[in-house]
Amino acid sequence: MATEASTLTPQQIVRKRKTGEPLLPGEPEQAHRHTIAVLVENTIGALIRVVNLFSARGFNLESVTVGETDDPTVSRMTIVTTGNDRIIGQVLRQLERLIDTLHVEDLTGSSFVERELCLLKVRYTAESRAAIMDTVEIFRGKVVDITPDTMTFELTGPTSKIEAFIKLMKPHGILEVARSSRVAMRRASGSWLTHEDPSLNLPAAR
Amino acid sequence: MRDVRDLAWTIKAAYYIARTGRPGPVVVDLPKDILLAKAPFSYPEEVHLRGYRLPGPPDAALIREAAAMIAASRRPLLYVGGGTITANAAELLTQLARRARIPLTTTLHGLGAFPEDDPLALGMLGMHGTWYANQAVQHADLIIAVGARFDDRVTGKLDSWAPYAKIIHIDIDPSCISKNVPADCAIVGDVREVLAELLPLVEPKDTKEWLAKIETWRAECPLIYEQGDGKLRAQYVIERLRAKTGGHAVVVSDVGQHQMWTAQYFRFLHPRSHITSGGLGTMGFALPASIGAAFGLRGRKDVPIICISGDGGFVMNAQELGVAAAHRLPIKVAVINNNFLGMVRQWQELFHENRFSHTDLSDTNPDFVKLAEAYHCVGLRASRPEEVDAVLEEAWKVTDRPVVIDFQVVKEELVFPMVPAGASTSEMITKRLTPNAFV
Repeated sequence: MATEASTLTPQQIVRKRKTGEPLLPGEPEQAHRHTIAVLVENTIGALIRVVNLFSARGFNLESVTVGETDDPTVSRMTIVTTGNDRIIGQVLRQLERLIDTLHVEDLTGSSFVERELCLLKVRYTAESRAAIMDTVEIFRGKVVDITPDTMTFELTGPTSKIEAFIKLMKPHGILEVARSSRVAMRRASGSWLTHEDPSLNLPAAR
Repeated sequence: MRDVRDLAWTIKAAYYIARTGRPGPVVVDLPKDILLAKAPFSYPEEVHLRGYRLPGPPDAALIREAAAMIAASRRPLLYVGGGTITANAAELLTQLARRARIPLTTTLHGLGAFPEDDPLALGMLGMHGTWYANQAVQHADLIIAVGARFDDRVTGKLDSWAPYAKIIHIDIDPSCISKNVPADCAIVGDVREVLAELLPLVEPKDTKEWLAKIETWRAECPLIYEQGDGKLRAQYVIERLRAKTGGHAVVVSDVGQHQMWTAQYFRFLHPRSHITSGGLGTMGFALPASIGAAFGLRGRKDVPIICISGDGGFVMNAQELGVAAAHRLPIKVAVINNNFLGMVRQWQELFHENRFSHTDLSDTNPDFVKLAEAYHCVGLRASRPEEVDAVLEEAWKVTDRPVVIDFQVVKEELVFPMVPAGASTSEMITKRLTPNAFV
């Protein structure tokens, strides 16, 4: 119906601003990357429900990690997704709606630390060894295994650093790469697990 | 379920989840080994699910904001969904609409939340809603959505829905808020609690001009169908059922054209008097659901249970007549029989160049009277308008078993008005597109 911004009513413009949808057809969507931390019941079923939510509702799922927390009944997931404001709002509310989720927090927008672990195996020769070690040094990587012709490194850092490292190793002949995907945590003191949200200080799950 | 010792707790938790918050079904997967295992029975008094959050009391500041928006609006419209009925808030809603003189339109599941004989009632909105309800949506400056979710059958093309309206959205489920249409004032909470707090803050309004405008739309394109040509149509059957019962009945509809005609022409008066599968679109739903309604209302002989089904949907669960007969449930089954999958036929006619593939049931349908008799029910038939009242009279005399009435209606009838799928609510088809147009 409305093909030009001038034919939109003020109310339609307000709505499009709120959802992050383009005002004109053909304009690019305002999609943003969001990192979301989720505390879930530490069961395989809980993990599956979260992942199924993304596939069933067609939400973008860029990366997902899961690991036990200091409470063995609780796992923490770090989810990276993209979408406009309407979609991200939906992702957060749908995650909260799951009975297995204990807490959902959108880290994007606040200050947070994001890290990824990478294991990388590369072939080396007497000639290339020094150059490879120099690069590893600069990236503050660690050698975790060595054979007469291969070396395996461990590297942590933000995704951009991992990707830069992989790019530099490529000419040497990468044999294998294993990446953990991102884990993230909000900066500043306090923990929403035990301090800020008293509703979570509850008897453990059955 | 993996351990029988968890069974009692799980069943308690399942009921707790099913009945609280936004109520709904819960699946408990019971494997055979659990069914056969033994364990001491200890049913918990209550369960605690640490990840299951029920909404707290509604935000008083938002309710004040909503009241101010209502006061400032000139063309307000209440858009009422099934959540209002689930929350037992129909009475409060009726008070709100009448106090502030706000016209009101309901979704398919919202039918019954407000008496349709009230002049403020505009009937259903959306794809097969009334033209005047949709016109009101497209011209309103404020839409108050109560227990509704802005389903695609309601909004059509989202971009052009209600282009002048600010939105107040009241719902218990936060994931429904701003899902399809962003709300300007979103109140999460139990509809009954919210309306109870909102009502005293809303002053009577002067909406005369707006209501007069709506009346001109109502006059311009009322809900009508062709009559007087001696042919039997579903709309007439439903109107006669309404006349027979005065609206004091529980009406269970199946899926298809008859479902939309029931929504349009029964003019519901009471909450929970209309049961249908709504967005699930499950053909075959009506007869078993009627059995459930009949059990629920055993001892209320004054409330007839009317099952309205198409011929296509009815045969999908017709074997349940056996259950209904065995329990002597006096359900009145109106089979709106056009020997077609009518709604599919309608789309084939309007959008697929009359390619009526696999929708003609004239060779596959049973004789519904004989089918009823085979299941120990009473079978009746009507194929002309003048036979309808007599056959209903006959059916109402039967009190100890189901009655199936085969209403043989014309197959060419289409449900109008209609917003084509994905089209704007402003682009409603109000006339039949084929040469035998009459509207």
